[in-house]
Amino acid sequence: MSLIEVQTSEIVKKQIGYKWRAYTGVFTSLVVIQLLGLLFSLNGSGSMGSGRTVYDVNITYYTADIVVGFTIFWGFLTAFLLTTKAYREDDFAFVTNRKTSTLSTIVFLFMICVIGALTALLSGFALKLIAYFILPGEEMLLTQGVGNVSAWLLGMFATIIIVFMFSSLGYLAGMIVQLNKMLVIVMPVVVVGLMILLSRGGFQIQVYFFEFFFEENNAWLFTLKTLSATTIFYALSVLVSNRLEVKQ
Amino acid sequence: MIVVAFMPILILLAVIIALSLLIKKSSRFGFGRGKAGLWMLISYSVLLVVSAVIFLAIPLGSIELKGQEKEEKEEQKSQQFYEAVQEGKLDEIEEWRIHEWSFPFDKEQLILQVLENDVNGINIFVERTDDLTETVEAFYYQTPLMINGYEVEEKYMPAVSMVMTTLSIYPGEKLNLKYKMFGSEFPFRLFDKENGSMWGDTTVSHWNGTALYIRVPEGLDVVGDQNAYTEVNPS
Amino acid sequence: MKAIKCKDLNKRFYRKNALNDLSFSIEENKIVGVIGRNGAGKTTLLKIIAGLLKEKSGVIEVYGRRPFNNLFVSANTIYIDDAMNFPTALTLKEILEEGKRFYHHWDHDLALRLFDYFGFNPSQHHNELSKGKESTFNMIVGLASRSPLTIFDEPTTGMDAAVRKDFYRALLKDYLAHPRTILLSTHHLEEMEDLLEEVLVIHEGSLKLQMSMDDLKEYGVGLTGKKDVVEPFLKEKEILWKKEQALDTCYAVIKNDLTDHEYQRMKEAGVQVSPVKANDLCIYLTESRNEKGSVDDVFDRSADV
Repeated sequence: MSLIEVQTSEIVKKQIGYKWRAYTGVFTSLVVIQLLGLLFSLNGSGSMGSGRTVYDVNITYYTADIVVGFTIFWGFLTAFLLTTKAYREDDFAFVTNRKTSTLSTIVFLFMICVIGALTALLSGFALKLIAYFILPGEEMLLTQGVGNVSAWLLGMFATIIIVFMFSSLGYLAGMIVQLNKMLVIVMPVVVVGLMILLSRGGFQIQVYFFEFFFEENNAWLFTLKTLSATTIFYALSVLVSNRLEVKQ
Repeated sequence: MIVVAFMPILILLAVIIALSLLIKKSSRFGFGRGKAGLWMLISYSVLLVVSAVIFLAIPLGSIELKGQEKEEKEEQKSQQFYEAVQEGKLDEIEEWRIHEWSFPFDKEQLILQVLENDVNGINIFVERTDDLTETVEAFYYQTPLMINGYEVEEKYMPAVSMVMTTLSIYPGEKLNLKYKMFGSEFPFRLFDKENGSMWGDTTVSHWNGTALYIRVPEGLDVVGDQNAYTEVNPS
Repeated sequence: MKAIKCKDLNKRFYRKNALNDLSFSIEENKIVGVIGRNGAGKTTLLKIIAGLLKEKSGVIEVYGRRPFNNLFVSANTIYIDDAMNFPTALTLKEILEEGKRFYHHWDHDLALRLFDYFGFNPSQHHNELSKGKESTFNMIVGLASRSPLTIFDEPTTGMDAAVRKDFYRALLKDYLAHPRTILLSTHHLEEMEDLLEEVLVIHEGSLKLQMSMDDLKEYGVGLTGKKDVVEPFLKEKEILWKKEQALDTCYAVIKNDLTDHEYQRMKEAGVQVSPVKANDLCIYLTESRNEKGSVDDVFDRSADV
């Protein structure tokens, strides 16, 4: 048999296709988690009551925020699971090395994050449709539609990169846990402990984290911050994964 | 609402269900099997797209809310309203008249009976006028309730009735207004703080004015709790 | 070019040495058996060759390149063991199709014919298979991949005798038609004697023996006779294995370098000279060096008490 030289790009492409076909199950969890989110959203994301002298006003606010939140969580969890041994070994059933395996996983994660983000945003329409026809309430007060296409595209883009960023975080966490199973317990303890310690010292890291990303009004800065964080997380997980052997 | 109280538990449950769904992979763990996931995604997406199309096709009365800046106007308006009432300038508040009553009355003494007025209060004003003889008139005025600049159309109405020499003013039925407010998801609100954070700023205006304006013939003896009504003497 | 070159290879797992200064090389296009007891380090060695594990020290080269994390080696190697991890979402047929996409020399026709022959259901899933069926399927993947270096680690686990026979035949036929380097580790050496060209015997992480199968079959010779008669012949010989039997007889295996003269003398002294099967020889060679003796001793001792 003659020896074959292969290109990294060729194998990455094949691995992406392979993962797409092999891991369609991720969509089961996506649909389930989004339907659950929808169910919760039907209760209204917020409700405001105002007992005026002669009026009792109750406004229920419907938005698919919960679905988006669940999708972010799903992105994190899916990436986390893809780092577990069984899935990494799936890669190595066929031709690969660590570089192609990681690259193809990242591309695959990006693809499913796009799908997750899109369906999450679209689910907002389904939610409002159900709320409009089925749920009680006399009148529509506000359809704060996304007025123009560019705003919609911008919001869509933001959702995609947010979900993708959390998937990178999940991937990093998963890789760290793969180093040693004990870290499954140690890591959350350290993270939460650090948060508590820092907040005692008056520095609330989680607040800072959310402010850093989600209070950013400038779309360019937001993109820059989110994508840099994503890159850093993935780069770190590649560093961690280099310490892992494939099969033991 | 009961559901709200159970929300944290439900969310926790959801997370557990999701986790177990993800982790159960027959012998190992994972995401289920076969092409089921893809088909689920496809049918779910079709559903979403269809509902989006339907939703966008519904001619929804989208009301642009004006928010806080309208609030000051409301306050002014409300003050003007009460000033006009106090001064008996009914023509100025004509546009807000909801209802009027007229009762023939030839007795010496009118008993004003106001129930539960401190709870469901409407402001009662009494004016003696020589325009009227053997008649008691009542007018109900109300400036509209504003929610973020949106005018609520439902109007409140007190129950006014005359039995013998007693004019009874009962609070009307409390109006329960339920509204649905559809907002955009938070990624859309990220860069658009002005239009985005409307929900947090939602205000139900406290400046809507109500007045039951009763006109009685000059010299009629009105008996009632002095705190329950205000006498008006238009100059 | 050598298919595999290995020099002073070491591997440690935590506190245990899995491989100790292993050195050997394997020519291209040979079928080589890797023989050893459980825990001898066969699997570790094969995984290092396949690039799945990282060596601790020493040199390992597959087609002149270090296999760990190497795309070239991965593309030209397939490693088949009984714990193959295929995605559970894919059916068996789809797994074969994935193989076709990844391996350039993949023979899909062969894969499908074997698939039919062994009676697989195309819509079955890999994790639903019984142990033997799973091994059979993995074997099909290994054969169809036609990788220049094909590694089978205990390929026959769980297979029944008939399937094992089919496997050996299929392997031999395909090898003859498409020569390539095949590494096999096995416990069933006697069944594979006709298949293997060369044998690596590994014991406790080090190389015990590397020779052609034909040489191995004649490597040892067994002597049976009265203890005091046999003993003198064993002097100056390399004793590979010795066992004292009942009635003062003993059985010893020595290296087969007897001269005709020695042979004659033994015959006269009443010592039976017998050939040693390759499989038995490997067992003798890989017997632990400590004083535990054979499993018989375990029972003898308890009988004494």
